[in-house]
Amino acid sequence: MNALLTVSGVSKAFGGLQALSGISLQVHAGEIFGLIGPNGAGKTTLFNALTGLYSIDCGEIRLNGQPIEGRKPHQVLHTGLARTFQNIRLFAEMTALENVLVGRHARTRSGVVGAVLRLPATRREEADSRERAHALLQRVGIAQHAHRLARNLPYGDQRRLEIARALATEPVLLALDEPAAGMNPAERAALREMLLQLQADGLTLLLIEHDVKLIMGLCTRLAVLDYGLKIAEGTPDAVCRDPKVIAAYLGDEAI
Amino acid sequence: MPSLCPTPPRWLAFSLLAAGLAALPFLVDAGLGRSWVRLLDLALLYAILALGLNIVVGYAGLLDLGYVAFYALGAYVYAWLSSPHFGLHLPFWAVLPLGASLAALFGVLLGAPTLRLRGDYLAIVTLGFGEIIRIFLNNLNAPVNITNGPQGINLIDPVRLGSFDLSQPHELLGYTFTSIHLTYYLFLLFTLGVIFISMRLEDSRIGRAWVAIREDEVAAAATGINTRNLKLLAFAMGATFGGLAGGLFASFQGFISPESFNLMESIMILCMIVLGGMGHIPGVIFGAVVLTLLPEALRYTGDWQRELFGRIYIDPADLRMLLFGLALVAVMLYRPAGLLPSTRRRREFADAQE
Amino acid sequence: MDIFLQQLINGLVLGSVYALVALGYTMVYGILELINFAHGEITMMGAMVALAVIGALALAAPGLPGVLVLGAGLAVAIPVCVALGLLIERVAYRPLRHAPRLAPLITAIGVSIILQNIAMLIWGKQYIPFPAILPQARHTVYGASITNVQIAILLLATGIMLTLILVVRKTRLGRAMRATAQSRQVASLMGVDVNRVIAATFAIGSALAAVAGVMVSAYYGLAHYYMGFLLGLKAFSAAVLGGIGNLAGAMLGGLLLGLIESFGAGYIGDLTGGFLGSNYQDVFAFFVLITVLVFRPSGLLGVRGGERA
Repeated sequence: MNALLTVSGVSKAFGGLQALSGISLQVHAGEIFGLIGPNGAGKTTLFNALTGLYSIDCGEIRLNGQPIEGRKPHQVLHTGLARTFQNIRLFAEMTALENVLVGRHARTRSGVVGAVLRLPATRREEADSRERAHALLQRVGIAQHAHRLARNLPYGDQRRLEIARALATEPVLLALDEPAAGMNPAERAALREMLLQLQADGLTLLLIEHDVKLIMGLCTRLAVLDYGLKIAEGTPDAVCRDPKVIAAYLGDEAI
Repeated sequence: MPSLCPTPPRWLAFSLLAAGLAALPFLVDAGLGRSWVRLLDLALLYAILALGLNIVVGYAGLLDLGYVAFYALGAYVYAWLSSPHFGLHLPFWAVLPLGASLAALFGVLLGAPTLRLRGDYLAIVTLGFGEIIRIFLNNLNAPVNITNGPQGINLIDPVRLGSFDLSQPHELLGYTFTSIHLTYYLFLLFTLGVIFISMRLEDSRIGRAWVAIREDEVAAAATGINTRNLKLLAFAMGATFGGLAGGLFASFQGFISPESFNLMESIMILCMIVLGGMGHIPGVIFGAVVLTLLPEALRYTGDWQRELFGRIYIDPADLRMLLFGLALVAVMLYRPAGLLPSTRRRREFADAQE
Repeated sequence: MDIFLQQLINGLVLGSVYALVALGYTMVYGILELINFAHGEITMMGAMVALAVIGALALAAPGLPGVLVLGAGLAVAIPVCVALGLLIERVAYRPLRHAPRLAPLITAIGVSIILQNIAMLIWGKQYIPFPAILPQARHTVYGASITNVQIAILLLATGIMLTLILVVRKTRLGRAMRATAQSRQVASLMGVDVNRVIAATFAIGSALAAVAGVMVSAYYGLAHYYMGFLLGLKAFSAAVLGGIGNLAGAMLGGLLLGLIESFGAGYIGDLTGGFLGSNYQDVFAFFVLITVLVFRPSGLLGVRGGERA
């Protein structure tokens, strides 16, 4: 198995709080890798460190063999790591279609001159972007909302739109921060189908999730964080039986 | 999709609009007087300025209170290269782009240190830059006389294209086109150009990236937008239009001084775009026209007073700014999103018709 | 050494006035995230009203001691400014609390234009001299001179600022203000009457502005309908310099700005080898402001916003 994402010894402190201490893990190409742990364990901090929103204190992060630590968020995205946010961050005053079109930004290149003169290359690029964006909206199942403002979409559809926007950047690794949060069971089932479909299409997924049922049924492997430390890594079954994981979730008395 | 109500064909609407814009200065001249044609020229100038600031504030969401600095740079470049001050008289078509480019360069230079700042901190720093530039303009008459200090620069060349002198009246088809009429057409041309560029940019990869930064900078960066470059680009584009307007202003007035470029001017241009409808091109133009004409229109309060009370109690020149302030407050209270806000509906509709 | 000491005294006096005005900006900003653009004009109104009262009293009862006359001026100016502040908040800001962010900024600009022009209509366009009611005694300390007015300004400003800190730290109102600044919603859930807290903030800020306005006009010996604009601008810069929303920051920022200005005016010629004269003192002030913000984007004492994610 070749490692798509390699995290080695990543640490990050905020003042006196050690949010991540020496985290190491590997995500293999084609798998769905889960990241779980109690609230405040450092999952989202790790996401922010991976995607360049936080600078890390020490350690190394490689995507496809390229080092990406210390890079700016847009540079990280260029190497093929896209993400969604726990507290949905869409461009509220833009339509769903426009949100996805913004996702095409990194993979297109027309500039001011092209835009003002509508040069043939720009027209082609724009048409291609629109076609792809419509297809992505279709794919996540919100094509009917293409021209509605993002802020007017129902909650579940906003989550889906965020995924479509991330997919528009043509990632090799998609990092999803609690994609099922706030969804009802039907929406969760649909999300599960969609994620499996994405995996089948060759995308690698990194998933933070609280819904244990979802993550156990979906993930190839997972890692458990607690107080900034990785306390376990392995297949869902192995992780479930790990006494350290049980202790972290249920308290020490449970052992 | 069939349209619900019959609309006139596009070419007809455009020709009517073109005819209206062409006839406007003559109608205004006949109906309201020559001074109003001059105001019309100024309104177009402010429309260019407002559209420029709209790129920075309306699209990219960067609250810039020092915008007038770029206007000043454009004006001074024009004055330096086209007046007896340095004895240079370069032609209009060469000086204007130079001024706009220098303004763009300064847009980037002044924008660069502000990239990490958010919201109101950005506002105060840009305001500081604007004031610094004005103070330099005011004082750079010694040891070397560059700006001629508070007296400003005089006798700036009017626009000349070949042998065609815009400062002289011309006869055509029995109509007399005076200098202010001709200026109107020149400014109209530039305004239309700026509108065109704004519209094209708004609906493009660049424009969407700007709006994305305005809506959520972190998400924009995580979606692959190089926020630093795009913010600088917004500053540069806005400054270009500001510099352009500055050059036009210098040629139009024939005289400039630092007083024309004070903080209040920046604030006025900001008021134009917020009052009209931020980020919405027709709203911004409307705001520019209304705020240029309103203070003048309020001069008529003298006549109203005479009619109502038989005498003038308050000098209209003193009263008009008071009423202007009241109007600002009233409009914002009743239409917080501006007089002509972007409904987005129209755009959604247009998009659905593709 | 005497020049240094002289600039230090001048800077501290000017700075303590800036600090008083800056407190008004920073308190409102802390709670509403609104630049109360009209605050400078409230300061101007304070000066104008006090001057009108002082002038009238000096005419009507020439024998009264100067301190009493000044006290009477303040006693009228403070309630007038508080009323103005409350009125502005109620009419121009409260209806726009949920409007787009720039809308209240524009009403604030509108209100400041209105106040300026009302002042111009009432008191005219000319400079109004501050009547010579105060004993103009000068004291010499190590070669630098300090007037009674300057001493009074320093003492009064220090006293007011200490009181304000006590009010915010120790009283119920202060606690409610701090809670509201943290989160308006949570504060209201906890039983804080947010509207009253905001009104109280405007009232306190306006009262400080009235005092500062009287100080400025006594210091320079004149007042003018346009004086609020530049004063407000500088005080706002001071608030930002210190870290807007932070009371101690506003005080520090005000004092620093006063010192920068006075030392800048005194030494800018030497620093630049005579290239820049004292007419560049404002450039100097803005330059320091910009430099500080570029390296500390949230001001000197402001809470580092941090990388939101």
